[in-house]
Amino acid sequence: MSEYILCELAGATYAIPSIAVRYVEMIEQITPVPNAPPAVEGIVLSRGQVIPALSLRARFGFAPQPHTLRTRLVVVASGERVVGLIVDTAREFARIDAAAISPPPAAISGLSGSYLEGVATLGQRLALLLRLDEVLKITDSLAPDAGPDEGERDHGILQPTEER
Amino acid sequence: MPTSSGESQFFSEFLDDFFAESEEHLALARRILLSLEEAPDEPGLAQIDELFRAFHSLKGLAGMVGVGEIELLSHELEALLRALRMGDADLSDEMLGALIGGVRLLEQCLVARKTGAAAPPVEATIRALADMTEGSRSAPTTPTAPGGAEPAKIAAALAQGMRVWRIVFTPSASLAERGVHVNSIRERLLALGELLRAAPQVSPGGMLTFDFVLASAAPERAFDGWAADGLAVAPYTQPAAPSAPAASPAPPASPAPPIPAGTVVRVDLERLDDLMRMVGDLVIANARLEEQIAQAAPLLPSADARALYDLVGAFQRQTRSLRAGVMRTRLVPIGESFGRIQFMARDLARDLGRQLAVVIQGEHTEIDKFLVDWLMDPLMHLVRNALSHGLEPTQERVSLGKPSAGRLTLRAAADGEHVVVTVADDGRGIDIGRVAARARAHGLLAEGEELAPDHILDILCAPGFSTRDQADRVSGRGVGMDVVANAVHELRGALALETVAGQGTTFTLRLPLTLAIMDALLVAVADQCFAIPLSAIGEIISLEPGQITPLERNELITHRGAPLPLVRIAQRFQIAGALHHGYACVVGEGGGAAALVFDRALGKREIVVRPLNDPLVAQPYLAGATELGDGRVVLLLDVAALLRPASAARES
Repeated sequence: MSEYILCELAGATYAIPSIAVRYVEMIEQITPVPNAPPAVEGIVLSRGQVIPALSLRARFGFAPQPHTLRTRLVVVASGERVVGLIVDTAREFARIDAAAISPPPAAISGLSGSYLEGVATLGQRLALLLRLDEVLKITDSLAPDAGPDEGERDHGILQPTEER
Repeated sequence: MPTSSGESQFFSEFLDDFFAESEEHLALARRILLSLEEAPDEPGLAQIDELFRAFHSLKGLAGMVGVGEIELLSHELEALLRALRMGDADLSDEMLGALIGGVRLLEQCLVARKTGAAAPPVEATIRALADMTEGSRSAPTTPTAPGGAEPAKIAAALAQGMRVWRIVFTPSASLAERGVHVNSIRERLLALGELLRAAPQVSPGGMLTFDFVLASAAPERAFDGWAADGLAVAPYTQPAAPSAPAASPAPPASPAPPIPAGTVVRVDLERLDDLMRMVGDLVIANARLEEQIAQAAPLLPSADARALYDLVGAFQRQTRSLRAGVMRTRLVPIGESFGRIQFMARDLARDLGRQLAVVIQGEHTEIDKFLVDWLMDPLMHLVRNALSHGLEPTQERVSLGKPSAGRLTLRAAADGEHVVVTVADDGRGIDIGRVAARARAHGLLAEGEELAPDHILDILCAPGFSTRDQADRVSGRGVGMDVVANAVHELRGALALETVAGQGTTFTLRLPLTLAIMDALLVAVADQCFAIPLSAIGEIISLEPGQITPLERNELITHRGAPLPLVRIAQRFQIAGALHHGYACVVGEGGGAAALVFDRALGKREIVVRPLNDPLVAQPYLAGATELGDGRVVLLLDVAALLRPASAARES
């Protein structure tokens, strides 16, 4: 029995482990970051911290959509990182029994396979369980082409500097 | 340290002080050893005395907190110095080497204790030191032999007709539940007499026990039933004397100089960080207040508005001096790091069989304590590079007509809001041809492309790049200049390189004095706003039509009689709708100078810098981000990265 935050994205329901979710808030201002991966909308100031805002629509290859009053920023912590995920909306909280979770169908190939933990049935609908570390991973397809002088530094997960 | 909570509390209270004091003694020992090495023929008795005292104090400290390996090692070093003081031995080169090695091992032991890593093996060194000591005694056998109990105190207690007991307490969870823990045991013992010694000990199995020596007039039955409380009581017997001189006490050392009256307060760096954070919040609150007043001013009678402006101005000045004050408390002289680096350099030169003269300048320059800790690794790396790649072997130097000893210069100087640290050698210089060849082999340089001098550093700092085919002990393994470049970049500093074939290489690190707060110029480019560190800006100029000369993919203007390339922020960041003739600020120096073009300046602001280190947004040309107090976030540009040759920048 684990707890999840449910988000809507392009008509589907995604579930994020609630233990990783710090809070959900509305989006105010986003400052774009030039040359960042296309799915990164920019940085936002959230509760005194400057964090990246990642559009899950773009990350999963859906068409962009202007932000509305229902758009939410789901702020998640993964390891040392804190990142805001932009979703169409996020309003529900669900307890999902491990028995209700099945592994991702083998037919799902390509990208989506790696960030899906599994599929859960919630009454009449399906919820796709996300693997945060995979969602936040910068894959080569996500990152812009690096110039010659900044090789692998921007790819793999950088060690964040120690806050002291 | 595997301990249960109560004891570890008791333990850690001592440890921080122990580390801090031990560092001081080690620093002193390093200084003396360096000066001995400079003039080995005439070791002053005063120096030997001081060195002896440093090791003696270390031994005492280590004994108090039960750090056995440090206690034993200091003990051997002390014994060797005792032999020197008594005139039983002369300071040979070999002995100096052994002392230096011993100090380095002590450092490693301290670091291991600090980080909770396994202690480095010390037995071999201890044996070697013992063999060296005149009268070649065998090394003590039990690493936890209790030293440090004052024989004099014990003798005095016995003379007063008391009995001396050794009590070992082994804590356990079940005892703690009954309220039996080290503090209650102390109480119990103090009620019976005088505690001559209380020290935590770690058994080889990692168990923590507490070792007490008690002088008491109480009869033996006072201890009845103590075994049930995890206590073992036995009459105290002097441990087998680990050293002959201990039995026949050496002439007392001249008393240590009294510690100057308490004008120094040790403050935990974290507390200062907290203060700095609070000052940062204050700066932001200040900016917001100013903005609110600016909005409200038109609605107020002008006298009131002026009074408010005056107030907020005063508030700002006070905040600034508070910030300066907090920053000053964090500053420490760079001298100690230099000393440590010098020590390592000599040790390394010894290993390589080269002669080395180290020149240190500006050791009194003060820099932020946080920077000191950060700087250590990059500086060490540069020094290792200078020794292993830069300085020629002695023979070669002589045949070139150079002084036989290679010269290594460490220099620090304050420069306004920055500190400039240089590491220079007078060696062979960087072989540009060889770097270019390796760069082509690594695919960092196109075939037939020449390596421009200002591009060498980029190549050297490319991850994994090294001009040595096999990593030798000296330069470490697989890590190279990229580590240095990254560290400097993380600190928002700049790294520069000058090299002359046959004459040497100089690396210059330019670092901001503080990381948290800085003055910045806010500029607009189309509808976006950016912050540029004010310290990077020489002046601001307005661009007139007809002033700009296009040149292939670049643009030039003439400024103060010299050509100056334009770097357009809009172009670098693909921002549409920027002005063609806006303003520019002159950044960089000498041949590396350029004009950074933006639409207009929005004003100067004191900003609180937030790091941007998440891989989703970390970019080489961004030094961080800052909030303007109204919820807006603005990117802070890294000018040095923007000025890199366009070929190295991302262009689509």
